[in-house]
Amino acid sequence: MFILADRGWTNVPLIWNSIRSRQKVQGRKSSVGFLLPAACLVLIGAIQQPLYQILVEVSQISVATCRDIPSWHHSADDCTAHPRYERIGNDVEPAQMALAQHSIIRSRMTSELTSISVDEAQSHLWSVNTTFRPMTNYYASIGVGTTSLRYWVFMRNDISLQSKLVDEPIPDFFVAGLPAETATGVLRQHIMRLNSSISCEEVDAGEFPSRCPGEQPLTVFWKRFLDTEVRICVPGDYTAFPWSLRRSRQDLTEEMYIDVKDLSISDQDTEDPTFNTSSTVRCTATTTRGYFELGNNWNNNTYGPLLEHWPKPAEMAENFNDWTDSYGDCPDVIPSDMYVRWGI
Amino acid sequence: MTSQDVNPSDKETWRIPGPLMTTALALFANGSWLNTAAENVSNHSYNGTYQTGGYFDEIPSWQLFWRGLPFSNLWTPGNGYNELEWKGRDFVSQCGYFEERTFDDIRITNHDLFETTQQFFAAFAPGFNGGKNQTLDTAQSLLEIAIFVANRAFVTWLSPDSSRNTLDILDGRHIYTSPGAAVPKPVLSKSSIIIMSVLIGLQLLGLGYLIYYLYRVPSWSDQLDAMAMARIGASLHHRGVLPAIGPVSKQDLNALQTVGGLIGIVEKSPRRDSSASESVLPDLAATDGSAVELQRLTSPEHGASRVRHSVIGVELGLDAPVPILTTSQAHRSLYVPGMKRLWRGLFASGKTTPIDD
Repeated sequence: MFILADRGWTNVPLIWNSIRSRQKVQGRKSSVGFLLPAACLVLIGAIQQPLYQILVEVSQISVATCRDIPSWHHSADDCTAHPRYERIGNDVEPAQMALAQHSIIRSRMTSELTSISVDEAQSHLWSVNTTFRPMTNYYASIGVGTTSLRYWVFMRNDISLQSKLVDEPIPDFFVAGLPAETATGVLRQHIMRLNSSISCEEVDAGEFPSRCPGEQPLTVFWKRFLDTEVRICVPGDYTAFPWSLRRSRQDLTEEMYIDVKDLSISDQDTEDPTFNTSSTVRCTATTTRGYFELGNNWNNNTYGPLLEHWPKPAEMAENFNDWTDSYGDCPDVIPSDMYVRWGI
Repeated sequence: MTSQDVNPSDKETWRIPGPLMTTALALFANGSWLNTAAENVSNHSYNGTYQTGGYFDEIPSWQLFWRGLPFSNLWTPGNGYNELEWKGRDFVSQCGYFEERTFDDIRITNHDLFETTQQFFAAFAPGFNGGKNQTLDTAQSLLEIAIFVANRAFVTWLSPDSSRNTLDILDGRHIYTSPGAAVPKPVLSKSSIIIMSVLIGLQLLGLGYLIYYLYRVPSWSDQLDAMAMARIGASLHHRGVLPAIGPVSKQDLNALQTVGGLIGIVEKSPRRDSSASESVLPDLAATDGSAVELQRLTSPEHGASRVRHSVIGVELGLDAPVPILTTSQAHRSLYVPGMKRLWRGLFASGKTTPIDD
């Protein structure tokens, strides 16, 4: 008790004396048996806090609060008053696509085909390989932008160039409604993506369909086109929307035939085969439509691959922040694979 | 699907077809540049002599017309990287050539249009340009670009930057970004987890040992009140080693060094049976010189006092030779039975054991 009153555990010479006296006086062993452990405990307790500071680093993580969730903006509370989220764009819904007018796309196509350049930066162009990072600096030094069509189309298709590339082969690309590498922070959202591959080959003239198949196929016939007769056939229906309304992956294969018949053969130079311009070409385009997850904190800002299947409603509600916006007083709705509701 | 809504005769009901169909419509269908040009060249078909009517006539509308040529801006002039130059760019360079000619006020004729049309179409039909060895690379690349444009138009037609989106209600599904709220999170390395675990484990062990140590013996700390302190002080005063409150001399402090502070069981003097303080043995030399000992005051009784049932001549008092319940076997034989008796007596009479003082 007296030693407690003297605060002996903080008195270093005292503890030292105790240890020494303990060695000298064997009979008094138990009397220092309390002081020393107590002093050790006090020491351990004292060094723990500094050790915490030294050994435990504190990093910042971002969490989603109600101020980050746009879906909640119909309830009037403090979250509504100070939203932290920001709208960065739109993603066209399958149902909206199905109702989009033909003429809108055609007029856009006409003007954009005229103005497109291989060297302009294509912001909506995404690499299929989500971790692919071209050596931007190197290509910039030779005058090729790594977001340009020169890089993604011509350099990729040039077989002789592939071996000269300084990095890995250039992967395929896809197109999405938001600029490449768009990230959504703490929110997890999906957008639509489209990627097409096309291959053309020369075929026998007999493979050109005698009657272009489909409900409304595109047929072109130029009877006298520079000494040739040209037929073009794109089977299918150029007035109809070919996709289903689902969000899961779907593939669409289209074909195009171009047939050129040389009319001048009979007139002149039939002996020279190089002047025979007759040929038949078949081009096959395969387009895949589906959804992918945008880059966000959860996936380290690396956007996800093409989803074979749209997540189940329970998973969508629990893990993702996709909502189709409501109109009027209706609450926002989590889009499902077959969800076709739309503002009209 | 939606095909039943489509009325082929009503263009308003037409929907967007697949990407290749969209591309073919833009490149070859009615209203496309090539289709218009094809109609034009059909009217001026040449028969090998290039002399039929109007072949070298000027086309005043050429300037307007050629600007609608697809891919006419594909190759930006002046890009010095020749290794990647595209073999099939002829029709484009021709356009640039024509433009220069119009700046020089040179007429552009049907002949020029023919050439451009031929070059353009040759990009899609190899061999059309005369050589059979041309590959389809150009056609493939051009179609790939055209399909890219179609797909881009398809997925962005509702975007805010699309000037054609005049219907406010058609604004798609909104995509949001949010930085979230920053929350501190500890980062622990493996070694720091081990170090901290060992330290905390040591501390727990120490606490456990102290608890064991404390509860090994009876404790009277709940009775350690002012009265107990006063009585301990009184015991010292009785022995003349420490004066009461007032001035303290150096001699007094030195004398205090000689007194053991250990309260324990001391032998009772046979001649006296009054207060405990008087029965303390004056064996001061036996105590530890440092006078610093952990004190174990072990009595459920109130301080040092006579014990009613004591029959072997021991009682509690200051300056005990050893702590109670010591492991020392020499003393155990003497004190342990006494303590046991003392405990039994106390618990037999319950907690309300009367205090003699």
